[in-house]
Amino acid sequence: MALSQEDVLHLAALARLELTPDEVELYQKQLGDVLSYVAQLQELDTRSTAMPQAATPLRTDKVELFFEPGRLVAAAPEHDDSFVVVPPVFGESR
Amino acid sequence: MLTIRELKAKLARREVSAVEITEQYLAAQAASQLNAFITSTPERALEAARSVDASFARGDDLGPLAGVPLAVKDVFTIKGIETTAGSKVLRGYQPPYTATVVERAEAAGAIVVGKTNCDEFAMGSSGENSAFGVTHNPWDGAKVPGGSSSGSAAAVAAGECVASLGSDTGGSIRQPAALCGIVGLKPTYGRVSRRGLIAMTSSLDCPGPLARTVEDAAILLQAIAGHDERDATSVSMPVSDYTAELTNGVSGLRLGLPVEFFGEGLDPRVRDAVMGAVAELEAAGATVTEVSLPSMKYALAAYYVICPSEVSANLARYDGLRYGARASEGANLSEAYLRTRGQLFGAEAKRRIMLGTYVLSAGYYDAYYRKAVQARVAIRADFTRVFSQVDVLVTPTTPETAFPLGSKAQSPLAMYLADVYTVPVNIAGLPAVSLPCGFVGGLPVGLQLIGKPWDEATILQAAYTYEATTDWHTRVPQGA
Repeated sequence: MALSQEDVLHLAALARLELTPDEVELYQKQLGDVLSYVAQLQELDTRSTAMPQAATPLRTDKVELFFEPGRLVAAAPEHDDSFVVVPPVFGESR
Repeated sequence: MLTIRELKAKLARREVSAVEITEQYLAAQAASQLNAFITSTPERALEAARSVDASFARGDDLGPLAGVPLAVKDVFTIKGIETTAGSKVLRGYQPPYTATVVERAEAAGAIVVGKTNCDEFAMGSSGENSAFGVTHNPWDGAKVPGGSSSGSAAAVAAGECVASLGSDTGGSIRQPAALCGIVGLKPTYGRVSRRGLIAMTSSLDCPGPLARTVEDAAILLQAIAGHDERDATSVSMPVSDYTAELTNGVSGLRLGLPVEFFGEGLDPRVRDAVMGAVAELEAAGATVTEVSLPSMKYALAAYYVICPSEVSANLARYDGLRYGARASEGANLSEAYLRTRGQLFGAEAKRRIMLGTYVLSAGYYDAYYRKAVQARVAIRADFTRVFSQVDVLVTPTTPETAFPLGSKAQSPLAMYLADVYTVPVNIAGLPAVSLPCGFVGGLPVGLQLIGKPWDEATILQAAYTYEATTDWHTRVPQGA
């Protein structure tokens, strides 16, 4: 299953990954190899196979306070006392 | 190099204190050239050791892991201690909570000596995908220790800890255990809580023990197994007494040899070592039957659709905003995401994210993802059918012994094929243990025993019985 460079760039954009041109070329080949390998799944006759149903048990919706919100903010790469600092949503690309 | 039993006996006889043992293991870690650890935790370790010594002095009952130096794969969170998942994107991350498995091990008295090196986000079969350098195999520094729990396996084999915690999604405990000549157990999915295990493939990830002996692995499993209401996928099955049942023997145990695990691609010398182990188990009273799992040939393909799909979702949270590291400033949010993720994720992480994005996208979902999930149903059905005829499946853990560092780095697919015997077990959600069954060219060979769901006790019994007939577990790497 061959991928085009456009395919790779499209996937990278969807996944928010900025790739170098060398990476695009390398991954194009490597991803194509893997997709060719996994294509053998098509040989399986799954016409009578039901999709599995998840059976995760539910618990009661009980509120528990997380008592160290400061730790969560402190984990951010850039923050002030109470806020996580982020780049502007709208800003001119350099 | 001590086992848990030997260590506890020395402590009980007051031959040595927990602090002295801890200092010895910390020194071994510091002197090591293997790069098995990313972060050392000497303060935490010595404080815990002092606490064990004080407890003992007071005459308190000591926990089952009291004084045991334990290494923890860096995909498990420990509050306030840098946890990287082997990735630049989490460099500097200090989690606000500690993983359940670590909480339980420490409650049992374990001494956490450090966070071990691993492939980035537990994706890899060699340790070479770590952002913190490769880990070396203690038996031959030019060879890989296996992955993704590379440091956890190398550290146990080299005597830098007594036991360790790893995670197994496609073989990441069993394969490095095999390549490093130690015991590694993947529990049934849902047996051990994933809370605090940084998610990679949520439907397959399993925390588990690595140790020098089967008994040690059983003791560590006992301490961490059991339902955790804070992990929605953790199951409320009763936990057996794994250590009490070890000596049951294998009389009448029905072993199955699945032909698909003994075919092309298996090194004949590895096969011979495995068949030697089978002969020992037969001599001890087990029966052996050949069985077949025809859908197993699709297991690796199913895995490399399901795993990247969940990876693409689980790694979407790494945006450089809320935790870890951020790349050089982007002018706007979109650039920040692109640069952080592009620059701070390694190649394998990016490959799997893109693969997952592809197979889940409109137009490809049915052909790839839906098909893979259906393959998973078929593979599970095959195992269920076979387990109505036999109790334990015996296979090699890997097709070959530890390969040279760099030898598979150019071909992701070649690397994936290293997991051909371990992945089907994850796809079927089953428990399995790897333990040493010989050496080829000075490198360890691993024997894999696969059990029925929730039947860790039986595979541990069979492993223990075989181990008792050999001395592989007493061998120590040169210069370790």
